[in-house]
Amino acid sequence: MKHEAENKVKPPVYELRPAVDVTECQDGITLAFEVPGAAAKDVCVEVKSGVLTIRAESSLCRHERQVVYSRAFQLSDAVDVENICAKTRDGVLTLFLPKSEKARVHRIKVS
Amino acid sequence: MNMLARHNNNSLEFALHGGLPSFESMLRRFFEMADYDHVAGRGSEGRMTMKISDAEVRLQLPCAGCKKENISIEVVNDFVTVRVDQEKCCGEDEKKHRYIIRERCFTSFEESIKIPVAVVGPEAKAEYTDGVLTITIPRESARKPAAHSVKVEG
Repeated sequence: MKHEAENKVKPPVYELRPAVDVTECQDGITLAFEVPGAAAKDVCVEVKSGVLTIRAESSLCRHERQVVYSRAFQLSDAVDVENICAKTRDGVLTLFLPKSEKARVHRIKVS
Repeated sequence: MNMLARHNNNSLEFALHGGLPSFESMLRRFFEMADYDHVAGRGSEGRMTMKISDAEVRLQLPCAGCKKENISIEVVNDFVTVRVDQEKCCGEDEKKHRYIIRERCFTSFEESIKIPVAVVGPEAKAEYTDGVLTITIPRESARKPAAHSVKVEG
């Protein structure tokens, strides 16, 4: 019975790749994904084996299927994975990936 | 220093770990950019969707990152026109940041749709939540006909 429940077929979704802007500043990288119809509770952000994956379930439907936005990026060692922060506002998911200490530019003053 | 590489469908698209992208990766990226139908909001079909029920007509337009002040809606008979001015919403941070990937579009756009059923335009309502504009217009047929009692004189 339990096995049957596990094999229950999930409703089909319409998967889309969200448009993204990736910008770099001194402290890290910002990724801004367009995920209209997805509130904070519908967004899943995870980093596994150095791959950052986002998945956002939207309230929108296309061709009678729920729209789901998903995209993945390979991260380098220069990202401080522990301190990644995410927020959503007006259908835009913004992630900030801070640079790890070793990736930061350290300027040494010459006396 | 580049800190990430782009992944899609479990295949590495191009590596950006500090070095320049290879010719092959640039070609891949070119063809990926031409594959518009899989990128949200860039398909050949219109972005506005319509759902008609017995009581109302519901229109939805995804416009992530907009401000509600920059959205104007016009209902004329059975035509609904939505105009979104996006230039005001962006551009402030551009000088501080260097773009690595730039796919989002901030141009203004206008989209019109003809409603195939009779609606009550003046009673239309709109709300903007999580980057989706939802317009609800009651149907003409859903209105209860007003009963008038006529006094018989004589």
